[in-house]
Amino acid sequence: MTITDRGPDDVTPGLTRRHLMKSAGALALAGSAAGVLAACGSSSSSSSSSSSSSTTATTTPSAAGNSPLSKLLGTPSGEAAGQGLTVTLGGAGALSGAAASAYGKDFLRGIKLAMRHISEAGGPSFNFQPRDNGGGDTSKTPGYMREFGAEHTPVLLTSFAANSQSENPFYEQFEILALDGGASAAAALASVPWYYVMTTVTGLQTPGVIEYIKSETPEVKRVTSFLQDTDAKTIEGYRKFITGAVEEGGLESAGEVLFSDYTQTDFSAQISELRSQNPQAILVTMFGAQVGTFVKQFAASGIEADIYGYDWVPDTSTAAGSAATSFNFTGVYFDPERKESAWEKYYVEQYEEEFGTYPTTYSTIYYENTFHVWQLVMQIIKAGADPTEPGEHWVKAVEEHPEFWAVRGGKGSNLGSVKMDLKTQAFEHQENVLATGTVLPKLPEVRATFDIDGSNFQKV
Amino acid sequence: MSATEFGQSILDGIASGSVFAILGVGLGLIVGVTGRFHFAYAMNIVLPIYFATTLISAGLGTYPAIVIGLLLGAAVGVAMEALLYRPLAERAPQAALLAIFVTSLGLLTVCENVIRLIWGSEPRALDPGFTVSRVDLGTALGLNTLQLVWIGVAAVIVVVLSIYLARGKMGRAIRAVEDNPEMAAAVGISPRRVFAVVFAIGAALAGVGGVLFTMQGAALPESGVLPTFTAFVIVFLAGVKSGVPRFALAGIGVGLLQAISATALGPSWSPVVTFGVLFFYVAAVPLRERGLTWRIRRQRVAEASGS
Repeated sequence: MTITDRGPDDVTPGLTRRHLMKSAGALALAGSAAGVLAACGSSSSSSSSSSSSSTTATTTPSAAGNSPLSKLLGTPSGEAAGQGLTVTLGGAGALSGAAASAYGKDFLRGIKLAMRHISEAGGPSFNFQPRDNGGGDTSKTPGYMREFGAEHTPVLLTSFAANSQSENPFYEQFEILALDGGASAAAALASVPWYYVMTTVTGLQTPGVIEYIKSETPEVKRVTSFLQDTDAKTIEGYRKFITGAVEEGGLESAGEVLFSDYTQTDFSAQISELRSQNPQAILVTMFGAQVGTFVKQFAASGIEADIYGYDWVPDTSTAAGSAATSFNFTGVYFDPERKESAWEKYYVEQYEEEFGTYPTTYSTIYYENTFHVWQLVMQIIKAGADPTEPGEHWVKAVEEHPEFWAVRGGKGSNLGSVKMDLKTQAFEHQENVLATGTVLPKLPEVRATFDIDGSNFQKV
Repeated sequence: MSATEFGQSILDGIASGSVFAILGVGLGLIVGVTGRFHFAYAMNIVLPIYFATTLISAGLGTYPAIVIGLLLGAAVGVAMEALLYRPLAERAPQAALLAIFVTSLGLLTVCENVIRLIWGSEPRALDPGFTVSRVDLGTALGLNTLQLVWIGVAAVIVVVLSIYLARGKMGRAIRAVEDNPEMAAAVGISPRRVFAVVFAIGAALAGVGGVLFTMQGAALPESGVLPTFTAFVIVFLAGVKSGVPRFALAGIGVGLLQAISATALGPSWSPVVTFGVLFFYVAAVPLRERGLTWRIRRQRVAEASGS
């Protein structure tokens, strides 16, 4: 018997079935292998090539230095502030793939608004070079890192664990200072030269959430850690920060459950494992829409346990649907309704005017990180070096001046601040940005705030 | 892995395997009847979800929106065949297999990005319209109501489609074209029309699978890709020319394999095991056949030299 491999109305004898099956199998295997690799990288098969469009923030000379921010920040004027300079700023974000909505869009918005504000405040202009890292697609890394190197990019705002880890060899090669506002590779890249974590490391909020669990639900004793099955160093970091903090906090660790990667959508195996562990609370290290999908499936499982996720973005609630209200977030959070400091108020109003929506945690982190780059530019100018060129003067600027401004945490005209721990190369303290609360249909409701080690715990 | 976890993974595997069965049946029909390696099947999985959620946002009820979404998805399937695959196959019949495979991969990339341009990258959620709760089936074992719906929908599709292909006029025409397109054309059956109907049915089934999976989470433009690879595994395991029940059984088998391997070995092993099965099929089975051929040859040579 033969089957045809041609037009439906063409009756020319075709290929034999065996030939067709062999070819099909080989083609399918090739395609499938590509699919598995793409899935492992949390990527989209449709990921577009890296975006090479650049953005330069400019402002008229008369306006420069007269913005509300220049007075608030107390920045110098003219050359000391970097006015007249154009600094190339690299950006590696999830511009395609599953994370493009939750993280890529906010990454770009935060940086673009900050560039405008810095320029208006009399700072330098930035030649912003955004590149698509596919939200963890490491196949894109060598391409965009070589482009950054060729463009003599001195500083890079980066994100996503897999990308940061694969970028690592290029930092030293091209002398690029990498500032990671996602903190995803914090455990794996702790103390790696040229790499700094510009937010609170995921997991360090656990003492605060344990405190919250003990005060709000004292009957809860058994806690399961729900971790990504990733590289050994990162898992070890999570164990130390999360499972370790559970035990140190006087609760019992019911065990650990692993999920495969950020593309997993069916959690029936994990829910079965959770059922056998019988926890009363679960600490979940998933991000974005994925944690919402898990929450939705968990709600249908009949298991009675409180879920605390280390991340919340609007996509989380979209994916969780009506189950979103059974989800508690805990972690770095920017509350757009707080507006307690003048900068916070100005930022939220400007953001809403520019983008028609409220700023999220991630847009705020990258907004702040762009200001941190400006602070480093000023330090480099002060030291007599050239901030438009890559080199060790950028690392030296971080080491000698590890304190930075923060939109969050301030009050009135007092600015918030953050400090880099030069040993771990991550922020050691960030005032009032760690929170836990309940997810409501629009925004989470903050129930408590605290610092990294659970200190300054305050119920809201 | 405890006995309870094993039992639960079997139940979960049957449930997810039921949706894989629907996807496998749809793709199996397309590949078996038309010979098209339709990797853009991923778009047939995803597009009805975007159509349906758009209609729901416009105020339509969930289930009417899903039905219209599936019909639109079926129309897209027919358009893919009529506007892309058929012209390619007619222009270059000798190279059609590879040309259509490459075209479908390109179509997949284009469609994903068009979805992003039109609808954005935000996840699209579909509420099933009923409370999803656990139904206990014994000591610590159970399924949720959505999983039971998956199994029920798959069973209905397998039965109805089997009857349609066995007794329906068009169903018999589909089987005739699948068996022998030249003979079917000779007796007045239009393979062109049959191909269009097969793409409509296949795309609609892909949409049903996509909608059922999305009801437990959310869909993204690329959400159809991995299920499509799984559907290809099912089609090759069952055999390209198999009937509906065999595709369905292969789908449930793959679901079980994924669920048990995820529980026993860890979730990261699940795709490795699934595609390992495909690798075994592509690499090991032909080797075994070749080995058999060598044995027969050796036997014949031995017989010839002995005589």
